[in-house]
Amino acid sequence: MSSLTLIWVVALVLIGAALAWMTALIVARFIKESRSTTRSAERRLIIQALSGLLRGQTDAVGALSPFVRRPQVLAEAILDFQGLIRGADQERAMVALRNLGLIEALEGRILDGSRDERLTSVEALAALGGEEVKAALRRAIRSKDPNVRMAAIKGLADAGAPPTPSRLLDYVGTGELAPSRIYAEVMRQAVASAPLEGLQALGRQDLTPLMRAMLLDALGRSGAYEAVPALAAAATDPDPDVRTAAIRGLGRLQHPAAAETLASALADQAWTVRSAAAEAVGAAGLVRLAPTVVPLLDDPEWWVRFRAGDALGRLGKAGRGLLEAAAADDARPVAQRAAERALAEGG
Amino acid sequence: MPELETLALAVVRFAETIAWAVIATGLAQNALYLYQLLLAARALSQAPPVNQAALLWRRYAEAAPPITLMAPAYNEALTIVESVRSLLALQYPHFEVVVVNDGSKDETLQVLIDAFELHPVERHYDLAAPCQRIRGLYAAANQPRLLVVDKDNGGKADALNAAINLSRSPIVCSMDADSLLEVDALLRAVAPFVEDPERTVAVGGTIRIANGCKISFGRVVEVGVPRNMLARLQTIEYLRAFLMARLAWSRISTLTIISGAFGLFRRQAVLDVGGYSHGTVGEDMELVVKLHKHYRRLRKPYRVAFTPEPVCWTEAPETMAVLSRQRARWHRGALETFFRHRDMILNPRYGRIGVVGFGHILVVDVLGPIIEIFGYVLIPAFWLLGVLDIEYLWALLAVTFGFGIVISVGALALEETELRRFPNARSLAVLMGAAILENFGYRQINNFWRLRGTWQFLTGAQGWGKMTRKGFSSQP
Repeated sequence: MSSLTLIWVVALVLIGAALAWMTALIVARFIKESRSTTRSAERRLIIQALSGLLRGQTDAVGALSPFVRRPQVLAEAILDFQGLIRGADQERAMVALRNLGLIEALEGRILDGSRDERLTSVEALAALGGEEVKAALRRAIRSKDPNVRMAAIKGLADAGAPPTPSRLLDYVGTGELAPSRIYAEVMRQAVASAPLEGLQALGRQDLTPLMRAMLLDALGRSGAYEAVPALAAAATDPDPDVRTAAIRGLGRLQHPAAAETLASALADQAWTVRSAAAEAVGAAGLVRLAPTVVPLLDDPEWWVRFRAGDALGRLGKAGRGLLEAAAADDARPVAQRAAERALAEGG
Repeated sequence: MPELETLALAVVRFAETIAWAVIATGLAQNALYLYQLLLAARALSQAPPVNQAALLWRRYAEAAPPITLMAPAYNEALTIVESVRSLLALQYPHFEVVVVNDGSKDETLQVLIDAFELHPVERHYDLAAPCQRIRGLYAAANQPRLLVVDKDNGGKADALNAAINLSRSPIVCSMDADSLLEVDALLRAVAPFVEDPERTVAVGGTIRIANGCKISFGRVVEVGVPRNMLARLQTIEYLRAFLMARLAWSRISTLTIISGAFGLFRRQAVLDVGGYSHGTVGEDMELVVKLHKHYRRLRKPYRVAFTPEPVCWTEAPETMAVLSRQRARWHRGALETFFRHRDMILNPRYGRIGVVGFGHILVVDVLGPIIEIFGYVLIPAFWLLGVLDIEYLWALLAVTFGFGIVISVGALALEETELRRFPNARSLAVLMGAAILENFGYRQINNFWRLRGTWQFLTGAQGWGKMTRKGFSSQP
């Protein structure tokens, strides 16, 4: 074959391949359109059956049972339906679905389905609730897909059975989970249900600053006052992100025992810590610290000035008096502007 | 006459060199596109889009960070109220809308005040990013998500800087006043910030053509195919640009542009690089390049991500005159950024972004149009002079077009396989016709427009040119 012929063959193969591809796509679309219509009709039937179940229709369970063989459609419908109902109605519907043997069917999809199906199945499984589901979700944590693992853990946490804080930290340590914002939410749930275990986990030597900060954040949100000494100790950590998380945690707990730590943090080198400390003083209503907040009104960092003004505004008459004095002080124009804005914004 | 023979031989060699250079450039570009197509297909298959908005809410709402939507407006009195209402109706747990009236000469500010019952308010803000004087702030108790900023005119970059200064959210979303956002756009685009919060500094989203779609109250309620051929060709072009090229480059951490029509940025990261740059028509690309440069210099891990799902719809020009001005301006913007950061070109200090990202711009955007235009002019001329073998020329041209068609169809195939937003098989067939057609004339004329952009850049032309839009109200 001459080189000229070869070039023409390549060109014709390319054009032919493109045309064949196009034709295949159009044909596939025709097929998918009809499947999509069937799928929509199935979902409508499932929703109708679930609604019938809530109205006490006796044949509703019978109408649902054929769909156990189509767990993906059922899973999608459950997730749609679950958002519409609450409380006893939701539980009644979910019990009926559990009794149909849906847990087993959905577990099968977690193992064999496409990526999208795996994720939808684990989310639908979590929606079903109950002890059997918790066991299935625990098994799903062993999935190779990190999104399925995260969804399973989130499902357990939402069902009031999160892994222990230490176990959650292990998942990140071994690379099984990424420290995402969803992970941070689960950590909060885990620590809230077992704050003492969260405190113990804080003593681990293998924690990165990021993980330590996440744990401190969770302890702060847990409402457990036992965490105050640990948070205060972490406020002197060499890492500024850890110190910031500790101070924010103390701000959330609003415990007066944190006053000295917050006072020191107002003079921290890192602006994020100073800003968090000012916010915490305002949130905890530590009026006696109000004079120590005033110098932050002319901090070089805007966020610190803003938080300081905001904090003084929250500290009642004393704080407002200090703001008014700063607003009248022409010798400190930066502080003056911050105070004026805080007073104006505070109304 | 040996001199004449030598001269003729030299002309033939020159002609052959030019012809081969043009063909080699064309083939290299197509090979690059093919690589992008494969990368994009892999990315889509590994992270298939979520079709149900309710699922997105379930997955991300609890962990979603607050976002400030920044909507710059200049002389938008006729449409601004509807645009703002549609922004306020977005599905996202924590967001605020900061509308910046950039010194409009019409009644933009007054219609906002009247429609939303706004009154002057105070808000503590820092002038961290440079912007023109802020004249006043307006808000209303019954619209706690809305803040209107009235400022002296300074252009889009300046208006966005003002909005960043006023924002108190960790994430800001830049957009055009006439962008039509999907109702779940923020939930879709925020996913990288939720899943990888430490590294993600910016997220781009896919922009689609709204021509031919049914639009109601500032939303695309029914996707359609444009009736206008030029808009139809742009539909395929946008699929190639967003679903293929940007997704592929984001996959290998070399994405250098996030469209000004929609993009999410970590606020502090934008401030760390000084906000949006003034004095360029390509402020969107400039910002992303500055972010790359900043984090590469600091050697800090970072990520510029891209979401393939359509998040925003825009009106495409339907006349050659308007489209040519738009494309020349885009090209000028790209060149401005490229040469402003020329120290990054093929510089290993900037890793892939210097070598692959800037190398790609050099080959495809800077040299590509020039070489192609040379080819279009010189090759027929040489053929007329009888110094080129026409048989080989036709064959190689056929290969180039074959590649082009494969790539255009491939981009459409990606959409159809993973997103399937076009309504039916008929619309698919129409678009496939456009995918073939765009290779015969449209791509070539685009190169002329880009060359005009190069000329404007070289001669220091300023301004945006007249951008005429039909407006969404007249859409079917």
